[in-house]
Amino acid sequence: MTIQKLHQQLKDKKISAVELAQDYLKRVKATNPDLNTFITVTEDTALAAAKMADDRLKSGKDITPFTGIPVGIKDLFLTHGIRTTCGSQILGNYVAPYSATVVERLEAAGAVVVGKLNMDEFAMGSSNEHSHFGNVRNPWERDHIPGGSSGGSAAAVAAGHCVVALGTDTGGSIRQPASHCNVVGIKPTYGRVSRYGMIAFASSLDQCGPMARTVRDCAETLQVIAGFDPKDSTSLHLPVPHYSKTLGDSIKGKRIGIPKEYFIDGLDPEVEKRVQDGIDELQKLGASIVEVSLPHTEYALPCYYIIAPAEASANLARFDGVRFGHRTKAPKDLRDLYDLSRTEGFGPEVTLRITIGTFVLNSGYYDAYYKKAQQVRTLIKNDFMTAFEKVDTIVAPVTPTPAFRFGEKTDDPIQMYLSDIFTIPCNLAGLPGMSVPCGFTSQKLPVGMQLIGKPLAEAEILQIAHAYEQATPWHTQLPPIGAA
Amino acid sequence: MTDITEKLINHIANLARLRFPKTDLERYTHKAKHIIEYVEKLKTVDTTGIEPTAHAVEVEGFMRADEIKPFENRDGILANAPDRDGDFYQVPKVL
Repeated sequence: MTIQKLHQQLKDKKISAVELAQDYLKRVKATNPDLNTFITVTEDTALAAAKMADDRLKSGKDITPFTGIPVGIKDLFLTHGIRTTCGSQILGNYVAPYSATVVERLEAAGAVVVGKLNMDEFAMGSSNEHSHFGNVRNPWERDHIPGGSSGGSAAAVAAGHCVVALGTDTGGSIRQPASHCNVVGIKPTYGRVSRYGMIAFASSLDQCGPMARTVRDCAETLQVIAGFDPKDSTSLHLPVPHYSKTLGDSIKGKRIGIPKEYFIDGLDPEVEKRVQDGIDELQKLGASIVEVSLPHTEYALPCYYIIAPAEASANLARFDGVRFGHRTKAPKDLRDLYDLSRTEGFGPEVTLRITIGTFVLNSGYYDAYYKKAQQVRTLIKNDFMTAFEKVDTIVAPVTPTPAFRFGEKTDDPIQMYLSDIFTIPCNLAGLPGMSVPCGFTSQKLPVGMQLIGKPLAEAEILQIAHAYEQATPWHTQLPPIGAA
Repeated sequence: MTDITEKLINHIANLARLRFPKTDLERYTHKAKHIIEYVEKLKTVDTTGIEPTAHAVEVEGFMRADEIKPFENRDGILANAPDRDGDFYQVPKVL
């Protein structure tokens, strides 16, 4: 069900917000033991929030499209009084003393938070196999990964555990799981949405965004969460456009660029076919298709695997066992306390990335790795800016393959990292990007099509994605597990 | 090409306040070596005269009034302390 439909039912008193919350919680109880989308289900606070939403609906005051709508929050956002783990043992018992700005904004709009969604530890992963709280299963095919790191968010939306979920995207963590679970996900322009209260992974790349069943639901959610926040000095002090206003407008005459470097060896033929069909559909809708070149694409992944771990190693220095989080038992001195609390608290992938990050920032290696990567980042960004002189939007695959099986890529980090080869450039350049469902493989695994926009062109990519979505049946298809 | 040895990774772990037992050290050295070798690919890119990008979207440092805004949930912060003595965090003796 979409926000719009549920909002109408709530307003028409066909269902109460409490009944709606109970309905979603019932589905969570039935299928969460299998799918493991939630780390924490917040039944009591959800029902209390739903009761308040009903009061608002009854009084007719302060009603927004979100009043009474069940939402899920990736467990990387702080939620006041509710356990916030970031998928890590090191924060296993952490209860957030305040809420992230995006959570506050959704709650102020009347949304009902049903729980905290599973994720790769500290958002480091592409398969959700790196969560301390266990794998999330893909509702389309339970032996396959849901994608990561916002795998819980994508699977929960697909399975009908919530209407909308918040995710975060540092190198593809919204778009990649969205594509694997047949949902829509958008990573806004860097700075469009506040990062206050988001547990930082790589601060120059992290961005929060919505995941939902439809483009319109994503647009509605972005409307609530976007905009300047004085608590985040990197948030942009710019007006927020009306995102759903241009949904439904014709895309005739839009110039769409297809980057030749994204159609390479290693791209699964079924994925390529679905994306190509998507491009053909856009052409039928009146867009003109232009080949573009992003010549530094092949350097995006190595560039990212210097910058992101470097920033992570600095951000994760705060987890030292002193003020919050896991503390080792019986340390013999302060140094023991730091070393053992961290070594015990972080999982293997996080430990590996802290190690890489500390290495590349280490004096003697800094210029050769970190500075070099920042220069290459400039070249990657320039590639996009050059392409955008010719086209309005870029369309490409989201991932090189459909969702893979559990355990398939866990031993080789590079193989795992390659899952994000098409999503990472967008983060390095700070651009908005989204994934929209574009069909299925013969094995009935979902495929997503990626749209990358100019800086702050969220409205434009949403408009194009919406036109495509409405012309195709993919978003109406529901997975065998969960749904409704 | 940097030689990624167990000795180097042990040094890095020490800087990062991590401690690897022997088997872990082998595993992390192996994986780190693999990744560092992979990112070496950047060395083939000519970046002469290219400015580094720290943030993709340039934001002018913005100013705000230097006003105290009290945080209302002091207890909520302290409640997360693994060990405390009243309002103080407690750690093993330093001196």
